Amino acid sequence: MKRLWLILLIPLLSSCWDSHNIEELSLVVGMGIDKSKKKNEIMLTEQILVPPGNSLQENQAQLKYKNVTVSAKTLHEAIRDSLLITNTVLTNHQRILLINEDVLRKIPMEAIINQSIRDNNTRRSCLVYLTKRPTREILGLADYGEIPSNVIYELKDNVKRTNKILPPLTLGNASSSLQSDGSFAIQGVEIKGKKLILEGAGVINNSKLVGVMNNEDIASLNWLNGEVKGGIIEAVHHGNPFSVEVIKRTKRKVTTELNGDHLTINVKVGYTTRLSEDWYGKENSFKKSYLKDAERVAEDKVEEDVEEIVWKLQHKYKTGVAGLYRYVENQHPKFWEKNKNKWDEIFSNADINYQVDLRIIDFGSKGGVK
Amino acid sequence: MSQADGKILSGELAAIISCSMLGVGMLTLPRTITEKINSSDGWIVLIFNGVLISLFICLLIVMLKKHQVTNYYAYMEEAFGKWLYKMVGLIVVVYFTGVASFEVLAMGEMVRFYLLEETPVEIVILTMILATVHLLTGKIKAIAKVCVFFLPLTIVIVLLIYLLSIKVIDIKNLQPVLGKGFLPVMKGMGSGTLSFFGIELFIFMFGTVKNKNKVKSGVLIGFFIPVILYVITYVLVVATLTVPEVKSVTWPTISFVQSYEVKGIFIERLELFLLITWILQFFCTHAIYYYFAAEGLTEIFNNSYTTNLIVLVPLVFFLAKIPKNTIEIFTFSDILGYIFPFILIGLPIITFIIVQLKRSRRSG
Repeated sequence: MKRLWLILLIPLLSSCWDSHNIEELSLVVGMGIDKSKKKNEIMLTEQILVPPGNSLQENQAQLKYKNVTVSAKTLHEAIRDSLLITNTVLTNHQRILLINEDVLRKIPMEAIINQSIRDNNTRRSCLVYLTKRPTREILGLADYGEIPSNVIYELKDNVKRTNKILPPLTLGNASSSLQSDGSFAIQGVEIKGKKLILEGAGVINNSKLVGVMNNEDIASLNWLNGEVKGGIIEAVHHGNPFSVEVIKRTKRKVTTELNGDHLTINVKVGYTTRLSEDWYGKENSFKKSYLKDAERVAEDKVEEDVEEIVWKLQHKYKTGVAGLYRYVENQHPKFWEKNKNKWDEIFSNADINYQVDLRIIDFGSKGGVK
Repeated sequence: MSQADGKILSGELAAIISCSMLGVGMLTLPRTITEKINSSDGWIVLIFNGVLISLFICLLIVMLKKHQVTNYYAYMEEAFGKWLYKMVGLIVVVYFTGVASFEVLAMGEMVRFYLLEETPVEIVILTMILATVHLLTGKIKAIAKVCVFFLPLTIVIVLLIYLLSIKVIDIKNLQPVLGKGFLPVMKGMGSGTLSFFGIELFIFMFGTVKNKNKVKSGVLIGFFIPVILYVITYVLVVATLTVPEVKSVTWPTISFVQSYEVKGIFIERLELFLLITWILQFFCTHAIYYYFAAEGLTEIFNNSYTTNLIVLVPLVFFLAKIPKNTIEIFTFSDILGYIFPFILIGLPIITFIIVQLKRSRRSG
């Protein structure tokens, strides 16, 4: 009788219904969305990890990934169609989502990311990028056997060292922004000299792509919305170039003033910086006035850049990418409630004053020439 | 056995109340409240609701003490007379059964959606119910032990998960505070009742607590642990997802945990831990309500407790099978939300008044 119980217990050892062998799953690390040649269809490229040691020929350099491309009307249909080619797709570990510019000109971004947000497996922390070339080309770039998705994903960490990259846009952020004012910038990815680089950015307004920006614009935009975490300001003094490295933000204050329906936004930021390079032959950083002059020159440079991007935002894209609407909403809730839908117009007519205060707190291990 | 007397300590009472409150409410609460008030002031609503209910709890305890209630069903019988009491008692039992099956159903849905896609929901639900029955053969003392064990575990894990979210929260999303004035907040007062489910149980546990003088502190501690967790959850979720987004996602709290990854420790994705601890909480809530349903039947029909436990298995199971889709599940919770104020507020006050009248007439 006791033995019988043991036999009855055997089924319990069979573990769970949903078990899958890991080598039978297709782990997706990146996805790309292009326009299909067929009308009204989108083309989906999935980048799938190939576990090492699966290749038949030992000598042949083996790719660490494979790409699967399918075309369908909706994204989910495309994912399901890809099952005709590969094993069960698992998007739990998806790191990036690339979207081609042409797609965003035609189809609202909200629709494109809808499936990923709804899905139970794709995480909201997956990053979104924009591409000029077809995403298929970018994901197919065999760069010394590196996985393109991972290369792109890891580049985002450089945001602390350069200000020409936008802060990473996660799927969750994108979805939240699309739900509120629907205007933000999205980092672009390009191929240059057979290498993947982060270059340019797209401006999204009301779910559609309304324009593109270059790297300098990105830097200025970062200055405007306070996302600068590092990087260099290059300027010229005494006829020679010099560069100032950003160390840390010390303050940022945004105040908004209403005069009837006319909006004035004042942005004040402060940073500590380092004089990191100076080509001027008669440098004397040990003198206070020398540093003060350098500070002033760098400040002027930043303010000039920001002025330029503000002009572009107000007149070219006509949308408040920089997230300044939050301050209006918080400081003038009643006004915002009334004019929510006219925000782009109000922003385009607003006066935006930008003031930066850079303090050079050190000049490295050399401070003077001769 | 030392636990044969079936009495619980006030600390155990606190743990039971906390565990019965922490259920599906926490996972949907940011959405249900934000939907109603349409601004980011939900945390004020929560604090207000919490304070109001806790004041009411104090009042109830005074009332229960005054009448020296040891068994709430006997107390109801005294108030309503034999037949009416059975009717009211049955309504209460139906409500308990309803909540029990709702919790197990919500858990089944969550498990199906996030964890085990291909496992039939019926299996998940049935396993949970059977595990509950097994636990409940030990009556209230067994539940108390489980709650005392699970509650600290839950709090530690949840707070740890929340702590690691610091990077993604943006406090700007919580402003403006009271930007639309006080009116929407007042309107939202009634919302989010689902998260307060569980507090009504203390009325029925009043008789089982060993030291009557410590009941109040036990109940209040048990009540404020979840309320504080709720406020933290609300603040973090809304600060991360923004108001319009919170309104549009089904399980805001899970979406919130999914919006960040942690670098540096060997685990990057934390939603798994939230889901696992929450299954424990679902289990506790379910078990506690199941127990009170069975207990109620025993009191009303004077039959064996074990029989009732087994009779309830198919009832709870089929009740959980009625809603066909997500919308119906949320409707289910809305219906329960209508009965909840009756059990918490209406029933004890009416009972108190009638008993008070009857007793004073008898003595006078």
